Amino acid sequence: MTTSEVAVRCDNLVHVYGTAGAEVAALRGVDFVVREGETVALLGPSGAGKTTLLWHLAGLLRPTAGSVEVIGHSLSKLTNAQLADIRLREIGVVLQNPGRNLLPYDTALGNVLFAQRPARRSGAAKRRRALRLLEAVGLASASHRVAGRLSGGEQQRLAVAVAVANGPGLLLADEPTSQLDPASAEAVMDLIRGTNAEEGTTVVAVTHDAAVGAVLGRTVTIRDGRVGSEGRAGEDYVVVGRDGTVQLPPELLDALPPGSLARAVRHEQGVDLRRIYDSGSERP
Amino acid sequence: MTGAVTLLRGLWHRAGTSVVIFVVALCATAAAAIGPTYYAAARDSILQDALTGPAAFGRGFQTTASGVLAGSSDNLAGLVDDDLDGTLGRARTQRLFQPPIEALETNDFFPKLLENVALVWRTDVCAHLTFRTGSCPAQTNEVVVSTSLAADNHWQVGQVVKGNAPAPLKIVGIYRVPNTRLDYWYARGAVYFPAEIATALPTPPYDAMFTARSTIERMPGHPQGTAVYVRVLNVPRITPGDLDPVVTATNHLSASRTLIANQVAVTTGVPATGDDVHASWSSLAVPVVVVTAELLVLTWLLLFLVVTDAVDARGTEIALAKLRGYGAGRAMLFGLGEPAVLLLLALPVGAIVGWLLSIVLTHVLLRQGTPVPLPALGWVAAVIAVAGGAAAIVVGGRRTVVRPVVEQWRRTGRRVNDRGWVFDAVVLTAAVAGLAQLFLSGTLSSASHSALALLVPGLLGLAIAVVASRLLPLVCRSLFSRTRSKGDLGAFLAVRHIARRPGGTRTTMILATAIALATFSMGSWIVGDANRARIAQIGVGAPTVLTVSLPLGVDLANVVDRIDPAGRTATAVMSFNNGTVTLLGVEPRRFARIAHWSAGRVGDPAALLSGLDPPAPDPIVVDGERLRLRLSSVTIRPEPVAVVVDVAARGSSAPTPVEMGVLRAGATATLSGDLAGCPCIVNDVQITPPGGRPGALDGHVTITGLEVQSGGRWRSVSGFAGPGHWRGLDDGRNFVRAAQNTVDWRFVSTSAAPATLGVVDRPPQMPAVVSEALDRPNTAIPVSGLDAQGIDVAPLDTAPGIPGAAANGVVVSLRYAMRAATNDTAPATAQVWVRGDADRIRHALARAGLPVISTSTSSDVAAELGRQGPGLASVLFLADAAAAAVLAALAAVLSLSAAARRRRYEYAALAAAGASRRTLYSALAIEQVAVIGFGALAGIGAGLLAAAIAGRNVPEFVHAPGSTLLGYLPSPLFMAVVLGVGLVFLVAVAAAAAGALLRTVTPEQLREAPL
Repeated sequence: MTTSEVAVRCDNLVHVYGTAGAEVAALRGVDFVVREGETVALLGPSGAGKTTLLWHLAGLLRPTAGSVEVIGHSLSKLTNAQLADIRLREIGVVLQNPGRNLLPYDTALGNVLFAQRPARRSGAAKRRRALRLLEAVGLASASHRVAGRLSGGEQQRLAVAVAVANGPGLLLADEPTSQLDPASAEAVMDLIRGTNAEEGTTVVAVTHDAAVGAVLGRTVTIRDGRVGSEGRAGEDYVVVGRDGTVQLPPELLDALPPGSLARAVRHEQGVDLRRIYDSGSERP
Repeated sequence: MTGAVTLLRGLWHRAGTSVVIFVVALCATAAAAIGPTYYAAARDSILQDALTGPAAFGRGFQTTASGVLAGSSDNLAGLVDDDLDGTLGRARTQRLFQPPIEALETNDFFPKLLENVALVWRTDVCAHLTFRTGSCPAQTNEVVVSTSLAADNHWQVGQVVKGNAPAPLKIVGIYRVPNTRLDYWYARGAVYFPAEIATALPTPPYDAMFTARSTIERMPGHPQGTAVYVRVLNVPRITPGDLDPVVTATNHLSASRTLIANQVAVTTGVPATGDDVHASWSSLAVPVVVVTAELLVLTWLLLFLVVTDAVDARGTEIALAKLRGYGAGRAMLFGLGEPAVLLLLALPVGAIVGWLLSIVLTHVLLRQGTPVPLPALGWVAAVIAVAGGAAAIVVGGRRTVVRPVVEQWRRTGRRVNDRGWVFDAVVLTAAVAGLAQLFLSGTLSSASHSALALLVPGLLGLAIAVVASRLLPLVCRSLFSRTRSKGDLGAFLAVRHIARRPGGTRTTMILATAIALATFSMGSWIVGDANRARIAQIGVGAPTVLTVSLPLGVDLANVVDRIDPAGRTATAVMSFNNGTVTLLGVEPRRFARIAHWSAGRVGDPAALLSGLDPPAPDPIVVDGERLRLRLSSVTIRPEPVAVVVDVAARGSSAPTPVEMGVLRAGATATLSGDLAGCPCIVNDVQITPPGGRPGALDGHVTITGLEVQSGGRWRSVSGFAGPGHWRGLDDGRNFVRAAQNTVDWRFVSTSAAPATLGVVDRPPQMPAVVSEALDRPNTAIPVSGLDAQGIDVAPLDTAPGIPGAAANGVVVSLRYAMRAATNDTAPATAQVWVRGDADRIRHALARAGLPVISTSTSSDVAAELGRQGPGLASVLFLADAAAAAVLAALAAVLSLSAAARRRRYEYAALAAAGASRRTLYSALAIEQVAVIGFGALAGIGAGLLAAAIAGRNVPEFVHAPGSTLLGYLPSPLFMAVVLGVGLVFLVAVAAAAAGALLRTVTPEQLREAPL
């Protein structure tokens, strides 16, 4: 896999928050790769570090350790100005709260143009693209309505249009459907997939919603600041950590409860974990 | 374009905040512009006030050259104009001065009058005279004479009079004496009209005769006299920029070698006027700069406060912009664009508002008709205000703009907003150092008056505000446990929000400083205004003082008594100032009611003046052709002797001796002499050796009768005798016993003086009330009577201030002062003091034949003092400080509301959890009221403390009167009412803001879950 084919690469990404004298490790060595054009759902329980990982991918946080590479740029080596430029041209972000993605007092069209403002294109070109995007998200007729007066679903569709306004290579979405009704949520996910399909945009979405994960190409589950498992084509795989750790899926923990002993047995396809009881045998 | 639309939509979306930022920015620019604009207008007003004073002397010059008159006028005009043109330039001279006035003056001796009478040609004189009869002299040797000259000599129009001049003069008109205070009569009123204007001057007693120019120029021989050339400033055209050139020109004229070589004398008051104007300008300039600077700094702090809050409230939008790839500069532009636009908009609007306010202030405070341009300096000051505001915006908003997006979303790192102790220490140290410097430099010493004292409230307010702002959170923290245990959720929330809100200390600091300034400025304005009113009242003496022209022989007190029989509106006052002491002859009862005694710190003037009029015999008045004295029991050694009775006619400057004849020893004798010009008052009876030879006398006479002959019949002068009516020389050897109808007189005189039997018609030492400053132990008060002769007074009591004479006044009974002056009151000034309807009294006086020469009112003088630099500065300070206090309160409410708005999620959650709206309102209201109330109280305390420390150092007058009458305690009731109303208003606004904010707390806020 060459660098050009990789949209996102995290190598041993560590992030520690320091607040009020205490330190909290949000990411504990994440290794994570997303290929160009791929759609990935980041799953995991609250506090697992999904959003922190997403902010790293958006260049909003500096790693405590490790590195992040996005569309060929090693983000930790860039200045703030360069990061802003990368966010302008290569990264689009949809936030969880529909209202937070938008200027509530500006029109739908104005919001899209607001996102395009720093881009070096003519005003007419920006306007054409903004109108096309609004049409694509079904808001052509609402282009002159004030964003704050749109419904939650409309706002989130508008947020997608704003996020892709500059044709980013990477679209990051944080709980894009969490506050929407099912119909609106489906419409938003259709939009995100459509963007991926039509413009080849790589998509990384944080979600708690399994349905969202199901419509994206791959799922990555974050647990305790690490990549715990991946799901592809309906099947979940555990991911072996850089230090050899493996997080078992919860449904297997009854076979290997926390604190139990297991024997790792190498064989041709990999390694088997076999539980060892107090008697020292593999049977109770 | 889209950016501009977005910006406008943002401004509209945050209309409340936008309005507040705009108003504060507008006030900053207006406050900056108003100082220079008001100053420029005040300079003009002060200049015009000074130049249009009652005396023309200060607004022009007069040049005179004595000698042969022929050709002298043109020669003099040429010399003066050349000098003026050389310093001012011809065009400027023409613009700044009125057309010149020339005169040729000579005297003509009239043998029949035994006096010289001035003969004058003056440019266009007839346009400045009003004629009782006749017309203007158009031909050579035609003259007009004054009414008094005509009356005294029985001259009439058409009559030809002959003096020593070769040609007789024909009287073609009789003029009334004009108002010599008009510019036209510059410095010549007393010369031309001595009979009315300057009776005490050693000039011919008759008013001038005005004639045609040719009369003097065609006089045969080489008549001597004076050529006069006068230029008076065209005052409405004089601008402040013209003053120095004009003063320089007049100074140059006075020192001109050419003029000195030609023996030209220059008389001018322009340099003195220039000095006064500059003093007044200076007294205004420093306060304007200090006040403007203080207010500018305060408004910058306010801008910092409101912009910080406004930008902080836009934190999520700015984070969004940065998320969309906005770089630092563009994010800054986006984040600060709205306040920057408001600030730019405030520049022209604020400057114009400042200009309009200056117009209003000018209309209220300054001379009517004063032009109010918006000077370049006003624009510069407005730009400086905007620049300072821009800096405040950048400093206030930068922290939010450069804050990382994630921090903004997480709302972490807010403690960096809290100002540190270092900042407090710096501000506190600077304030204390400033105060120490003011003390050490002597600015705040007890005798000093300096505009720098205006810095004290700002510095002290800041120092106290810094401490107080730290105190409030501590107080609230101390209430944590109490509010926890009492179960009052509103108070529980309020004290915690106050203690933890980072901007709270800043709000308290700015509010306290602004209110300290407002409190101090109000106190100093009240004190200054009261002192200016007091000085005006004590200086003028009564609400209205009418100076009248008192015809010969008219008793002013009688006229006033007829006009105002109740004695509550008007009183007669005759005064004479000998250069050291002013004698006021008054009617004690009326004077006690009408004069401004309260300004002299006298509580019961009636009691104070009650002893001025002790009983005394009436004067002995004789009126007829002859006087006769009946004597008996005459024993004299040596004999015979000459008897003289001294009588004084009204208005005569010295008694007239009436020769009664020679007296020899014998049982009875009757002596008589001629009277002239009476009615007269008998002064004394004198006995001397015949022929006026000096010699000692010893003897006794009994006066049994005093009679006058009138119309051929003799009649007795009633009341000539009586106890205490006569007195002799008090040396133990003289003896006078006055019975009901006789006077026994035993006398022994030395050779140096005649034996004198004086009439007693007043106390020998006049009872007086004197200014405290004059009452020094073992020191006689150098008082002169109304006739300018020294008199003895016996001080009965003292007063801190005497109305009309402040610290150098001596008040005596008018009746006795008139008798002491033997009716010669020519040197004195006759006035009618009025409390009430002055117009009625003025008209009544005119009807009684007493024209009013000038009018002075204490309110006008107070207003004039108020229009001088210090008065104007105090009003500017008060207006600006009050505006700043209102703005600070507004900003404080906005800041608290903005902080509370950010907590709407919290309140919505509490409401959803069951907290009543009353509880939530109480939490918000307690927070607002506590912060604003505490800041206001701290400010009031700081302002009052500053007033106590520096109140008496604030300049109140251009020339400090140095009077002990000044007070420095502002009316406590007035202060309490104003401050109380202001405080209640503030608290009400805060409570209303809390209510308004609570109405915006809705369950929808819960959708905006924090990240």
